[in-house]
Amino acid sequence: MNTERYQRQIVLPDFGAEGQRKLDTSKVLIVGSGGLGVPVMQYLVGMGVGTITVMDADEVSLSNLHRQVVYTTNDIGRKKVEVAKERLGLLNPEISIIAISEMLTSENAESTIGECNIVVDCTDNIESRYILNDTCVMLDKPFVYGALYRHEGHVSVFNHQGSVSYRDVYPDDSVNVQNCNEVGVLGVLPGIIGCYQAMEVVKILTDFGDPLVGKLMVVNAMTSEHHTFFLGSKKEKVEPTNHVENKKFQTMSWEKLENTDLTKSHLIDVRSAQVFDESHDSRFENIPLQMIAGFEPNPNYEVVLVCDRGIATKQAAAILSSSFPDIQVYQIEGGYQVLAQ
Amino acid sequence: MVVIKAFGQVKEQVGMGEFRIEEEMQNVKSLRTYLSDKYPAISWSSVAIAVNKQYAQDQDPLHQGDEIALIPPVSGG
Repeated sequence: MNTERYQRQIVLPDFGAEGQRKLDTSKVLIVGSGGLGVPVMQYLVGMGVGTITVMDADEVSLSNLHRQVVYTTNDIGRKKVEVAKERLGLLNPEISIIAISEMLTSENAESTIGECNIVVDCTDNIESRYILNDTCVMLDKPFVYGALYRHEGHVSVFNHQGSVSYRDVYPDDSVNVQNCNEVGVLGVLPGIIGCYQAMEVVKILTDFGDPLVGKLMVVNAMTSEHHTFFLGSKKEKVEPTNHVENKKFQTMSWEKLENTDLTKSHLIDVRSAQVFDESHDSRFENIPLQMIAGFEPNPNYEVVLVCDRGIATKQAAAILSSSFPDIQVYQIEGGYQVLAQ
Repeated sequence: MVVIKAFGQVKEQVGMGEFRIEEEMQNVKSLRTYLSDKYPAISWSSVAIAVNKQYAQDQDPLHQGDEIALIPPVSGG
């Protein structure tokens, strides 16, 4: 590491060489390389975070350029993550930038999030945010949230060492919310909010300052007002973390299912109703993953979940365990695919 | 009487950033019911409500002069 590059921040007594070393050994995943993602990646690359993965399936378009200022007019039509990797590699060739030209989905969330220390939520849609949240809860990773509505920006740090998650604040994931393309945004606002997010990432990674854990900051760019709301601690759930994690990650094989007394079990197939109707194990009832948040298990029962490959059940288990930490949840290992083999 | 501050899309849907409700409200749930009756187009179950800067649950009581924030999910990036 070339310390001259980072000299101006190393000289800060509360950051120092130790702070720089922590950044250098960190891995950050930035989901979304649009209005919020661009400033986040620019600053984290500049400041020397060792490994930065940027994930986005979009291509640069002319209407992006007023706010996504790392791209140029010549980049229109190119994959955003490829342009970002190329350009930010020039800003700081000493770190490693990984470009993934995909959307975050329930299929790729676990593998990509599992690789990093912290996730930055720069998505522009609510579905990705819930996938990101639930996977972070399951894997015990913090994420820095940022979102915009017209002249207003929201910032928070969720799921850091057992703190509240996005789903704790917004349990209803069926809600329809408009994005910047629909409602419009002044170019500079995502820059401001993205910079706040980058700052929170640095605070968490280097363990300094007072990060927005359990707090939601709302910034109004028109009035320059900042409001901070306290979301509450989740301390009662922090202590039994291992207990909860263990319960959440329990799997069960089909063989074991045959030898288990199921009289006090909810057996739930979390696949879509359409797939369920095609074929299913008749002992299971169907509650699709999207509906699982509304399910209330009998507190004296255990829950056994099944899906195709054991991926959707992980998300469902995370959702159930977050709402009902005392319920024992099992996932059928490998799902229906194991039976097909 | 409680003072309401609306954020995000709710601010536009109710047509003002700040207003008062004179009626007495027992708790956050009664506030939600009041708002649902007055502004049925808004999906109030998805709006986070803070009382005096603190995120509140439905059963949390309301008192005279409380400052309420209505914070809907926002999604732009």
